[in-house]
Amino acid sequence: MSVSKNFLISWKHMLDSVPLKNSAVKLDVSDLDDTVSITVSKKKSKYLFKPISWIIKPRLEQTIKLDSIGTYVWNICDGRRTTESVIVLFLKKFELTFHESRVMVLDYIKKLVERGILVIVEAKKDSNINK
Amino acid sequence: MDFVVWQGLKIFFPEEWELMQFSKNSNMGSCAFANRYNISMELNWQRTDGEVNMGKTVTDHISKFEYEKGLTNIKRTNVSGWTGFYGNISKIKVSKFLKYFKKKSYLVQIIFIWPQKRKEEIENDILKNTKEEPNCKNDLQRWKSFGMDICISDKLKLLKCVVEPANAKMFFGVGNDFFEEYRRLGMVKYWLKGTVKQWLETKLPSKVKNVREKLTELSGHKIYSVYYSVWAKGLSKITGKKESYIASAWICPTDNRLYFARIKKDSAVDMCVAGERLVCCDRLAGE
Repeated sequence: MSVSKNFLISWKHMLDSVPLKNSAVKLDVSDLDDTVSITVSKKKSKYLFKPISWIIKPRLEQTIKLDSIGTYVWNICDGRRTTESVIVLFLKKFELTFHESRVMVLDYIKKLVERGILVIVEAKKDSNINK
Repeated sequence: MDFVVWQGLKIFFPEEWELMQFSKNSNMGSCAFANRYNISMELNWQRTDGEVNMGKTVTDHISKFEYEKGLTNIKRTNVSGWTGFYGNISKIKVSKFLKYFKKKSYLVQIIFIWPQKRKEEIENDILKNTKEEPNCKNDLQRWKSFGMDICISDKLKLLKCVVEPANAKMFFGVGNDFFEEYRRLGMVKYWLKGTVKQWLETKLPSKVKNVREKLTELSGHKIYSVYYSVWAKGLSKITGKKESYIASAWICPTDNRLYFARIKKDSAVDMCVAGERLVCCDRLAGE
């Protein structure tokens, strides 16, 4: 590890961004443990044209079941809170340090973004979305 | 101010900073601390053959920073026995201090990185307090990091350290053999099914002998301990030699984390791991 590398490390920009829910998803809340299952539409593959699509029927929806921790992250990503505020709420609930919480929350957010459930909105410099 | 004890150095830092990067190598390595947004401080150590010429070393470091990183507005300074300098690298304020620690034969460098205003008060507090840490009682060496305050046998080295969110593990030993293992786990109520005693039993090797269990209560901490033996590895196994261990686990009522320690015992004397070898909070430290 060198000093020059550490000059470049900054999480500020990423912490100022806002995770936003995909409003097109379908939600199903479990009666047992309040965890959520999220159904999201999948983009049809460009290779599934006729007549291949007559034989292979692609699944047009994907359902992701979140565990209790993932459900909590999903619930606090309300489209107004910045990633930093989500991390702070998470650390208070699970009694973690800021960076422990940062790593966990970002890992969850990354997975949800990859599945098309969340998007990340970059904060503008003069934005008052955090205030 | 909070502090860590790493490789025999007691390193102070503001409470809102965290230890983010570390080295296991006792001869040369570094630790980096970060606030919420960026790395704020880096401490490097290097074992030297003898005391170094500080004036010349600082001049060399200034030249290197000037040439390689484009350091400007350089000013030399001395704080609490540390010799150093500060300046700017584009918009970032940087200061670097060096000191030689005789007992460990370490040349220690501390670099502060300030993206906005340089905070001299914090720098001075850190420099004033950072020092060599003497051994604990019974000549044990102290390590304090990731919420664990550990006293280990003086002959051991840090062999492995794994830090993940809510899961820190440190292994000490000689060569490739682990002698002592310490863990701190968070978010316990979300993953612990059953009792701490049951969890501790899952951490024991499959073929254990002479198992003896013990429950002690110290300052509100319920400590489960298991004393056991296993056949020694390698050639010692032929001679029928056994190795004795003690493993303890408990949940600290202060931070609700699960602490675990496993120590290879040298003697038949029962030792108390909690409080003596691994401390989780001030309440247990007071015991």
